[in-house]
This record gives sequence, structure tokens and C-alpha cells, in this order.
Amino acid sequence: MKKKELIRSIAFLLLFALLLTAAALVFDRKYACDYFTRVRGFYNEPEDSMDVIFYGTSHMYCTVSPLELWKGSGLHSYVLATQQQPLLATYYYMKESLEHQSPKLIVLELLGACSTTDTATEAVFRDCLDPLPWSRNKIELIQELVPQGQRGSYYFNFLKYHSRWKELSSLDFDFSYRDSTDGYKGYIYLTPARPSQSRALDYSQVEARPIPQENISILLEMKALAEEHGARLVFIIAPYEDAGENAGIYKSLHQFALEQDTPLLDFNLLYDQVGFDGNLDFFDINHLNTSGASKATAWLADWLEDRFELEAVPSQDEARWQTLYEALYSSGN
Amino acid sequence: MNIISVGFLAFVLLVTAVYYLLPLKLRPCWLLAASLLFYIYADIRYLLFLGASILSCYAGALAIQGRVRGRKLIFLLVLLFNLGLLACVKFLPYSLNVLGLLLGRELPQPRFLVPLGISFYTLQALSYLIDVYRGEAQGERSLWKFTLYMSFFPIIMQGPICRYSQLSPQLSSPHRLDYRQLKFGAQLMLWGFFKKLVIADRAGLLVNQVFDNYEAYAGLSVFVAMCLYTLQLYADFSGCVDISRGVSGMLGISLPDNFRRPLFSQSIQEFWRRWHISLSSWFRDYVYIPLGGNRKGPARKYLNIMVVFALSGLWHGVGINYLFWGLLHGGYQVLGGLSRRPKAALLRRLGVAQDSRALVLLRRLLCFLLVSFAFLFFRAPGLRAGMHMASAMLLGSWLPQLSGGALLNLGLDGADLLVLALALAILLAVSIIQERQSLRELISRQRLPLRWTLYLLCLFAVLIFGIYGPGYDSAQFIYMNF
Repeated sequence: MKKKELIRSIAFLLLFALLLTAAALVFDRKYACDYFTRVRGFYNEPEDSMDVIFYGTSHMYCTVSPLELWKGSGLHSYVLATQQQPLLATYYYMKESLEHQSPKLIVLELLGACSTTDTATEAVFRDCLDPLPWSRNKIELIQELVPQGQRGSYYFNFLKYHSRWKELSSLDFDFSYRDSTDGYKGYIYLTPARPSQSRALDYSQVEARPIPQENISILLEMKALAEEHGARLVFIIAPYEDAGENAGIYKSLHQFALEQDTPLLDFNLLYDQVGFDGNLDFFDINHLNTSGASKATAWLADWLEDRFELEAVPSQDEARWQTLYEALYSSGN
Repeated sequence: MNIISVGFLAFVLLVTAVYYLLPLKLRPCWLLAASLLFYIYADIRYLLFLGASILSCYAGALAIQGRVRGRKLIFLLVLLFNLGLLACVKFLPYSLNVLGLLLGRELPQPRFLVPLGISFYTLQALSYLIDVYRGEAQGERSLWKFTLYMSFFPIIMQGPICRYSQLSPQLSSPHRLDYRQLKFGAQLMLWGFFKKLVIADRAGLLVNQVFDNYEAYAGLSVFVAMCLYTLQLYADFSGCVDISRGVSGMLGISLPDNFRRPLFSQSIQEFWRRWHISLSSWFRDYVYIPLGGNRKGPARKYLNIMVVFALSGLWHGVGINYLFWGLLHGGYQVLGGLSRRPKAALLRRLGVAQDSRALVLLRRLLCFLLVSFAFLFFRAPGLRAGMHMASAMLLGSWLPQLSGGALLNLGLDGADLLVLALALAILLAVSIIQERQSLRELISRQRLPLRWTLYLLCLFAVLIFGIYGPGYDSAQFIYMNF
């Protein structure tokens, strides 16, 4: 092959690679359910600016509003959670986030501890993996979470999302998520109220079920990770009337928390104290709406203050928090 | 390893890169190693069958060569051994099933391994054996050369079925890197991927919807699915062959074209000169001509045609519907032959020139419809289903379905139908150009920006519109209606 032909071939391949990379970024599912904005927004927060980070599933991002927590306690926090997030993924989210933040408190919502990775669907994998920027943790998570033979399209999303050509819109050419922060700090604001007649979970009627062994190991690793980073691990269980078989595991998790000397806040035991109204505070039978989240967050703020001597990290950002709070809560929401 | 997979592409890249990095002498050995690795990767047990075919034909050909006494016996034994292997793995399970149905009891159903490419490499092996027997080819003394001919990885799965004299010299002589061949090979592969992923697999969504639920469809829907199946099959098969030829081309090996715009044919006879050329020429040279061809009068000629197409049907698949499909094609040709003179006389009487544009178009359309009608039975899940679909198509509604938008409920939405229509239009345009000249040569004469634009457009058409990967459906991500 002549030199000119070789150069031409390389130039073509480079051009193709560039265009393909651009196409992959366009076709990525960036704004569905706002996970990209929320997860990537975390990375755009100032380093070491968070006092508390919340992790878990949709139960987490519906239950705690960091802006309300800040208003009530001055603590800066973020919710890093995705729908039905497997506990293994939460561990890696924890590991990844602790490379950018130094929270004093790590709050883990425990729904993910009730099920094993093999019960998760592709949508769940995608929602927790796609928004993460590339890092060693993301690669390890793909290797551990995704079954062999399916990993290719997680390394190169285009293999999955090229069929989105039918639904492309101007939003797909919007890459502002790379530099922007999430105005809700990871919280998902839910309205309206859907009367659910939700009632507190009655543990006395529930038989304890064993925590999946793989999750016990992960919880212990999470605890070790938190300690390694000088943070305290706290468990939380969101209001969840329709817990079904998970209620039995929650019961075991209470015991586990006791053995591990890990504080656990279970909202299912506090319906009356928090003042949850089944007709007003729930988006659906398992998720709080904005009214319910306000109550839960206020209760949480007091609970944290009683148990932990937390001082908010001094921030240059207070004005922005105030602006965000007013934008979310001052317009009668 | 699927020919349409990232794994196969990576394998091709690796094989090609190593091929040209190795010293010239080692290059054919590398091809052999790669081909055997490819086959073993599919299933190491397949190697038993391939090995049996290779060794029997290799030894048989050498035994036949230069021998006068006993050569016919050796030839027949090796022939029957290889045909027997093929018949066993393909037809025994089905035959036992049918026998059981006829006897009214369940017979033992042994599980048979169907080795990858057995239908193709068996014919390839037999072509070699027959050529040696006839004295038209020399027996190969080198076992590794013969093994490479039999196992060459780009063609073992889907052909083309190559003659020994045509392929082996190319395989066993090393090739120097030729930029033009490399480029042309890559372009042919790209075109193959376009046909397979954008056209064939997309059309398949509609075809499968109708054929797999055939009782729910009638009239226009069945007609559309029938025609689309012909296009799907053409795009799929020729696409995969283009990929094979492209891969071989990159290695400096030229394979014969297996499809020459068959849907432009004006008669069924012409269709079989343009469709799966290597198979039809195999049957012509090794079945039709030995049976007497057209040299023993018209009645014998037509009988020979029916035999050839019956066998062709059985080669394609196990089931009465495949036999029916083959016999239908045979019948088309018999009727075509019988009606040639009356048709010519009619046209003369009407004053219509044989090469008039309108007549050519009409013949092409009629040929397409006849081919598609036969393929309906090929694709249907059985002969009875095919009959049901044929009658439903003719007796069902047409205009109401057209105006009622029923065609949008056949597995492809409007956007996909539009992409399919555009892709088919591109295929048509390319085919028209290819009837006159080589498209790759034409493109290579254009300026660099235009060439690169065309390549990139084709690449991205495949990458974006191709049916591959895990598939995306926004509904799978709906969790909560926030």
C-alpha cells in the first residue's frame, strides 16, 4: 500500500470515528426521566460541598427533597438514585460519588437490599448505567451487573439507541446537561396527589425473611467504604404499604442494622408521627408526592439533628440554594 | 459466529491484518487456521462431519484418478457417503416424524446435529469429486489445500458454491496487499450490510408478522407480505453473499457473483440464471446435463427440469412445502417452454416488438409475481398454510385495506415503511446502474469528497437504520408516569 493510500485510509477512519462519536452522543437517551440531568448534575456540583448524600431507588428520590432539607437544617445534600436501582449499582454509585464529595453522612434507602441483581430488567440497568460518565467504576459496574453477552451496547450505547431515529428531537442536540446542575438536587418532584388510602406497614403481621446473601455482603462493603471516607452510614426505609414480601426482608434489615450499629429510620413505623395522610401525601401507593416528601424531609431533618452533630460545610453557594428553593417552593407548589 | 455480528467483523479484521503481516509463504496456512478456528468456534462437533466429507472426497478423488478398474464403485461409494450424511442430518428427523404420523404412533426422535454449512460444502465437495471422476479436474494431492477449499470461512455458511479449479489456486497462492482490492472488498461488505440490515431485516418484521399469524390476514396484506418476502430473501441472501465476497476480496480472493439482479428477469428460466447462480449451475452441470439435459427431446427435457427443481426444493429445506416450491418452479419452466411459440405468435399478430419497453416491464412484473407466489409456499409454515394464504390472498379484500390503512398494522409503522421504500429505491437504482457497469468502478472515478460522502452516507444508513443490536422501545423504560 502506498503512503498516500495509507494516509487517506487513516484520515477516512478518523473522520468516521469522529462522526460516529457525535452520532452516539446525539442518539443517547439523555432526557428521559431526567436521570442524565440529575446524575451528571451531581458531577457539576462544587467538589466536597455536600454534607449528606442519599442513595437508593425511586423510593429515595421521591422521599427526600435536598432543597427542603437545606432550608430546614442548612445541610447541603444530593439524591443519587435511579429507579429500582440494584444494590450493587448503589455501591458503585457510592464509590464513584465519594471520589468527588466528602459527605459526613451517607443515607441508603433499603428497597434495593430486598432483591437480587438477576431480577433487574434492562431498563433498570440502562437507567443506572447510561447517565454515569466514563470511569473505572462504571466499567467495573458494567462487568458485574450486566450479563455477559449483553455488555457491548453498554460500552457503546449507540448499538442500543440507534433505533431512536424515529423519536429524535431538538432536545437530543442539547448537551447542556454536561455543564449544568440539577435544580432539584436529584429529587423528583411529584404531583398531584392520588388518593391511595396508604396505611403504615404493620410489621407485627409480617414474618421475617432472610436478606439475600449477596446484599448482606454489599451492605457490609458499603459500611466499610463509608468508614474509609470518614462518613457515617444511615439506613432509611421509605413509606411502602405495598411492600408485600419485601416487608419480611425489611424486618430482617432492622435486625441487621442493630447488629451493625447502623441507625435506621423507617417511615413505615412513623405514619402518625410524621403525619402522613394517605389521601394527600402519596403519588401512588408506594411513592410520596411533594406534600409527603415535605413531611418526610422535615422529619428527617429533625431526626438527623437529634442523632448527629452535623455542621453544614461552609458554602459559597448559599445564594444559589436559596434561589433554587424559591423557584421550587415559592410559587405555591 | 453470525456473519452479521461485531464478533465476525472483529474476526475478519484480525484475519486480514495478520494475513498481510505474515510472510507470503505462511499466508495460505493462516487462512486454513482461521477457517478451521471459525468452524470450531461454531461447534467443535461439526468438525467430525466436515472432516468426514473432506477425507472421503480427498481420498476418493486420488483413488479414482489414474485408475480404470473400480473407479466407478469408489466414486459411487464416496458420492453416496456424502449424500447420505447430508440426507441423514437433514431429512431423517423429518422422515421419522412423517412415518410416525402415518403409522399413528410416536417413533423415537433422535436429536441430530446439523453441521454448519453442510448443504453448501457437500455440494462443493461433490462438484470436486465429479469433476475428477469425469477427468475435468486433477485430484489434489495436498490435504491442507483441499481442506482449505472445503472450509474457507467466508463461504462455508452461505456459499457461493465454488468449483475447485476456480477457488483452490487462489486460496493456496499468497496475495500481496492491494489497496484497490482491499477498498473494493470493504465497499462490497458495506453494501451487503445495507441490504441485509436496512432492507432484509426490516422487511422481515412485516413478513414475520403476517406469515407467523397467517390465519389473521387476507387479501392485500398477504400480497404485500408475499412480495416483500421475495425482496427480503433477495436482500438477505445476496447481502450475506456480498459480505462473503467482500471479505474474500479483502484477502485478494475473487469469488463468483451469486446474484445478478434476478428480479429484473423476464422469465423463470432467466431468473435461475441470475438467482443463486452457483447452485443453479451446480444442478445444471451435475444433475440436468447428466440426465440428458435438452438433448433427448422436449418431453425428457421437461422431465429433467422437474427432477432438478424437485431436488433443488429438497436441498433448500425439509418439508413438503419446499418440494412444492421446487416443483412449482419446474412447472413454470415447463409451461414457459410449451407456451413460447404461441406467445411469440400472439405478439407478432398484435404487432408488439419483443424488446419493447412496455413488454419488458410487463414480463419483469409477471416474472416477479410468479417468483413471489412460489416463495409464498417457501416461507409459509407448511404446504397447508401456504394454500390457505394463497386462497386468502386472492379472495380477501384489497381496496378497503389500502384505504383503511391496514398496511400500517403489519409490524412496520409509517416511518419504517418509508425507510424501507427509500432503501428499496436505492437498491433499484444501484441495480439499474449495475446492469450496465460496475458501480464500484464508477464511484472510484469520482472526486474524493463525493466518494467519501457516499461511503459515509451508506455507513450511517446501516448504523442508524439497520435492524441490529438489543433494539429500543421507549415503552420498556416507562416506569412512572411523572
